[in-house]
Amino acid sequence: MKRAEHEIRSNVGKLLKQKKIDVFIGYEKGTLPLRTSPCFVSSEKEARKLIWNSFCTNNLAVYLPHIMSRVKNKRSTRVGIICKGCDSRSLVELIKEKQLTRDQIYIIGISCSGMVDYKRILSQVNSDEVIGVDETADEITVRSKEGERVFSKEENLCEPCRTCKHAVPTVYDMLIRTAQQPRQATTSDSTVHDFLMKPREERWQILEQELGQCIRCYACRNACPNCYCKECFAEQTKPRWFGVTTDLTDIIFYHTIRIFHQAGRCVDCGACVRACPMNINLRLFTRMLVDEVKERFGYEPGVAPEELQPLATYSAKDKQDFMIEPE
Amino acid sequence: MVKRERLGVILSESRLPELIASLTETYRIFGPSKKDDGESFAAIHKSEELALDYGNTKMSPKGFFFPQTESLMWYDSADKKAKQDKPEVQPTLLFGLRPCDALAISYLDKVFLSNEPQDPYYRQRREATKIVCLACNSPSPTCFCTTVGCGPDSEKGADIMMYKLNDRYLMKALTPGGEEIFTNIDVETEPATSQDIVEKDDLVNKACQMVKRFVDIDEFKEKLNNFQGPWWEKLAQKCLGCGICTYFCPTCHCFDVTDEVVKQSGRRVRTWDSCMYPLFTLHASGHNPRPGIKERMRQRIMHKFNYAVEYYGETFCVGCGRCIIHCPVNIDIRQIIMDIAEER
Amino acid sequence: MEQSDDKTIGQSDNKTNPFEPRILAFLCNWCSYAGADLAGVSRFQYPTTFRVIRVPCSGRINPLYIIKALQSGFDGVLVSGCHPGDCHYISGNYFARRRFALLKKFLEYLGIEPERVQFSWVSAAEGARFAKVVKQVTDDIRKCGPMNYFKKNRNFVERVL
Ligand code: SF4
Ligand code: SF4
Ligand code: SF4
Ligand code: SF4
Ligand code: SF4
Repeated sequence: MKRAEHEIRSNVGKLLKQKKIDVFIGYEKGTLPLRTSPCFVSSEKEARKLIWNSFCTNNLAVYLPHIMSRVKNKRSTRVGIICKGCDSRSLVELIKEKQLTRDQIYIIGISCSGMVDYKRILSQVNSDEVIGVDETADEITVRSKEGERVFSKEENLCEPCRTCKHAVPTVYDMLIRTAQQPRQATTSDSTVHDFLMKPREERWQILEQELGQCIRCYACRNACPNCYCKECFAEQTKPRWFGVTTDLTDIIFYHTIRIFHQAGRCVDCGACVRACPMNINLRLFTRMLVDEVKERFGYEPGVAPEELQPLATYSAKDKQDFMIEPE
Repeated sequence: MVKRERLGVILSESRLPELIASLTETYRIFGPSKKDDGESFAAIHKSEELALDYGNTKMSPKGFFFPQTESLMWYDSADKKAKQDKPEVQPTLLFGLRPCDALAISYLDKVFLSNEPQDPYYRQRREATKIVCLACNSPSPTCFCTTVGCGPDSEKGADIMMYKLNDRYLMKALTPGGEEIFTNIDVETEPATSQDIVEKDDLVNKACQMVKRFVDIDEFKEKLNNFQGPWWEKLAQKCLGCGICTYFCPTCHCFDVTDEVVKQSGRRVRTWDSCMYPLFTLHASGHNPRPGIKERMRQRIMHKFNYAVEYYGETFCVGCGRCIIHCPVNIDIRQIIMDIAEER
Repeated sequence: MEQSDDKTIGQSDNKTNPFEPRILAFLCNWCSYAGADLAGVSRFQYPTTFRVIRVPCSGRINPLYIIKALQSGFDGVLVSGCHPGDCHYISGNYFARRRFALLKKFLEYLGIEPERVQFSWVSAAEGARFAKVVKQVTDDIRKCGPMNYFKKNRNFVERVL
């Protein structure tokens, strides 16, 4: 971790000094224990505040479409960014969707060994008492007034990391390897399978329970790199598609459509889930489309840059087993 | 009936069940609920359901008076009839509220009630509700109340102030409403002695010391007079514009009014809104005077620390720390204050 | 779409009659809409449960319309377009087919009966087929009963009076 951090700092410093990039998006120390915060650095000196650890969870690709739409000189502006496996897959999708061009960005890829879910750890300690946090290859040590507690990283991984098969970035200009092995999950994700085992009524009930807590802040949308629409359906007023209230049907409306807009694009980075202040298990629903797209169209978002997105193409031989055929 | 004492009354902790039982005869009680470790306020029927050693709730209590979704009226334009929605109100007690939240409610009172016309929906709920405030003995690391004119023993907004002293509660009625509560209840108390007050002051002092004062707030406010300050761009860079900070904030009070219409009938509904959203200032023409995150972030900070001071004479941040805890990119309002204060 | 408070359909008028579902059909202008017309002209018997919205192509269907219909109180939705290869715009229905496949599975996964949202191909010449589709979809949805768990209560009139 420390070595990777050092490498990031010196490389970013160099890139900025040589004017190869104008700004770099990375992580800095957070103001709370177990947190990091995205940061924008534009000088060699500032590059010293960049950090790398197991809490660098935010998907930084989310900032790129906005930055690119704002910069005046599109051709000459170059943005550097640090990418874990999932973040790089978001970038690939953004490039496919023409939100970026590849040569506008300089990607420092980092082979990722899995991110730790800070909320999970905080729920096991008294967060008010935490003084400091240390990290080794496999463990997180939380020091508090009550003493030290050691947490295994493996047990406290973010959900998507558990079954991540692409922890090494799929695109990069420079790859930094940490001391740990990149994550290479051998098991496949059973979220969707398990949910489908439940009877239909129960599934709907769970959906109502989960989404019933939603306060409609739309942080899940704003944290998602793929949700860059200038005007989101949720905010259209002519026509207004659904109510702005906390009526459960309005909430479900929002989520079904937002999540469906990610079909074939969602890279299962978990940014939406982590952003949610109500800790709603959105992944229960986003993951379904990830699996279904893979199964039906053999497509994995962000893996192959030259492959067309599944809903942007078709085959005359696509299965139509779901359609009615009256006898 | 609890007699009025100059220094307040002492209630032994073992009598808390009696206190709650007696209160429930007159009031509907909401308090920090044990069910989710004091993460939220819930209806309380017995003292066992209370988690009075909580830090603070996740969502602020503003929703009690200013719910996220509220029907204002229903109408049918064919019949030319309309009916105003009346919030259903009963005498209610918010029990064990933290001082910052009570103070925030006093600010909301200014917003909704100090100017004509008053907000009738807010008023009806507010008038039916009394607040029993519980001083903080162990503030959280995210609390910064003392910097913004609040504090672990701030009394403003409370009808009754409670202090936890070891195995006793010191209780003081601060308003006629608080005294009315005392006359309505039947539980054994003793007059507080000057010894109890010393003990209380001691605990308050300790709590105050735990809350970090990190900045000269006046210097910060002075800087804000420069609307075009060069700092906004940088501060707003990483903000996602999700508005979590405003939805969780106990003093944020912006709302939107929309009509839900089916054929000729409909309802008018009020919902929370936030200055962090693009739609907040979007004109019908398509022009948006606050086009980006920078302008929206500026509005949030300026409203709290500059405009509110001008309109109401108060800083609309009580230092509860909710926006710090829940921001998905860890934007820390203390850091914003410091960065601006130190900018030269 | 705001027709949903029409009292006469969508519920059984008395206890002896079975539940009459209210179904929204999005029909492609170039095929299924004409197919529906033909079914009518040919006097095929089929249930009167459908309310039709004509669209230029099945590819024009935004999944949002389907959710909107369900929230507005329809008990089911049918989308019908041209057979593969026959699209007036060459490939609209092919793109739609991919979208619909995912949507149908997704809604089922969330806990909505699969029968409530259906898709079919009906050409302009297939009046009889259209009548059959209507009948089958109606039967399916009738079995599901009223869609009451995702209907937004918007009976405003009642509240005023
Ligand atoms: S929907 Fe969620 S998991 Fe999928 S790409 Fe967006 S933020 Fe990541
Ligand atoms: S939910 Fe859909 S419309 Fe809204 S921003 Fe995301 S992709 Fe765009
Ligand atoms: S982030 Fe969570 S609370 Fe906010 S809109 Fe999304 S699901 Fe709802
Ligand atoms: S919670 Fe954080 S990211 Fe969201 S709008 Fe507020 S400051 Fe920005
Ligand atoms: S701005 Fe933040 S700290 Fe201040 S009152 Fe609002 S939520 Fe609390």
